[in-house]
Amino acid sequence: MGEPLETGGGVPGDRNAQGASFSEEAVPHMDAVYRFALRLTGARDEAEDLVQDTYLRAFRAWEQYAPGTRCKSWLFTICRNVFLRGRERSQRHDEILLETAQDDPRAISREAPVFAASRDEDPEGEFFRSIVDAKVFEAIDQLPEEYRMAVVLSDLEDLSYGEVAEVLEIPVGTVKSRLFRGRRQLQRQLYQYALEMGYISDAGER
Amino acid sequence: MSFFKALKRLFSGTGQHGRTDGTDASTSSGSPGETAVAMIPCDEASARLFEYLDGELEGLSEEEVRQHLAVCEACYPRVQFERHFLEALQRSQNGGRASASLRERVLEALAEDERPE
Repeated sequence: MGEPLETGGGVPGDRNAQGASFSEEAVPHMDAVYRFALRLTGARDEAEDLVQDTYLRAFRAWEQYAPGTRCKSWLFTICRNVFLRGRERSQRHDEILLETAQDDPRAISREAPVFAASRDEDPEGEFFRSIVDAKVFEAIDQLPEEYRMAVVLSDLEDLSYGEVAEVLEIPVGTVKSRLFRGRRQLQRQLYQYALEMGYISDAGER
Repeated sequence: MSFFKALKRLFSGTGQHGRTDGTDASTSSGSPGETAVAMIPCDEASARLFEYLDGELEGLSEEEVRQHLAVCEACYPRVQFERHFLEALQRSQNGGRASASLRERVLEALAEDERPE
């Protein structure tokens, strides 16, 4: 619950020059920022540190927040920047995505290999309903980072393509192709899991 | 019908007075109440499917997909498939919450930060 900062509105810093209150606008998004941080770092401790750093930075930059923009997106942008900067320092190398300019998100949307594979057994993808959240997270965590960010922001946190583009600092077309590729990869993984669990049987093996 | 007659008919049909007899009303634009949108092929609907489900299409583009999906039985399973998938993702969103201790820690750090030195 977004309890206001104990210090209240009278303290310098809570309300910026545009009149936006940090405790009222930014603090209530802590669950969402935490979820995003958790999917970025993959570990609870690291995620909590990242949330704290994100909020400190956001608080110090509060003057730059323009009311009217979505505060949640603004916080995600800061969170991502803090995360990337921290990782640069620890020198862990990023997976390199082979993204070509010819990536046509619509072509990716059109192809649906898992749908084709499960067509006989479960044409409407009922098996997705049986999959527990923990497995969904596990599959998300295995995505390449760039796809993962797009999927989490769009599909878990409900940002529009335009908002995701802003947070990730990429064009909307790239958001679409990363999102659609990430979804296809997730479907493959969840399908594999459903096969293993026997939620669905592999028609191809018969 | 002779070729010339057909041509003449074709041209008269494009005039202000609208369609000639026998043309299919559902393929021409017009009557604002019941928008008759030309049917797009399955391939095109499925290419736009994610954008449609994400609420990112607008205007004619959205209308075309909506109308296609409303009548196309072949596309129905695919739409359900993608819907069930996206629902599984959305459902998992409830999974994570900032703990009370994290909340407290962050608020303390903020209070600390704004204290004038």
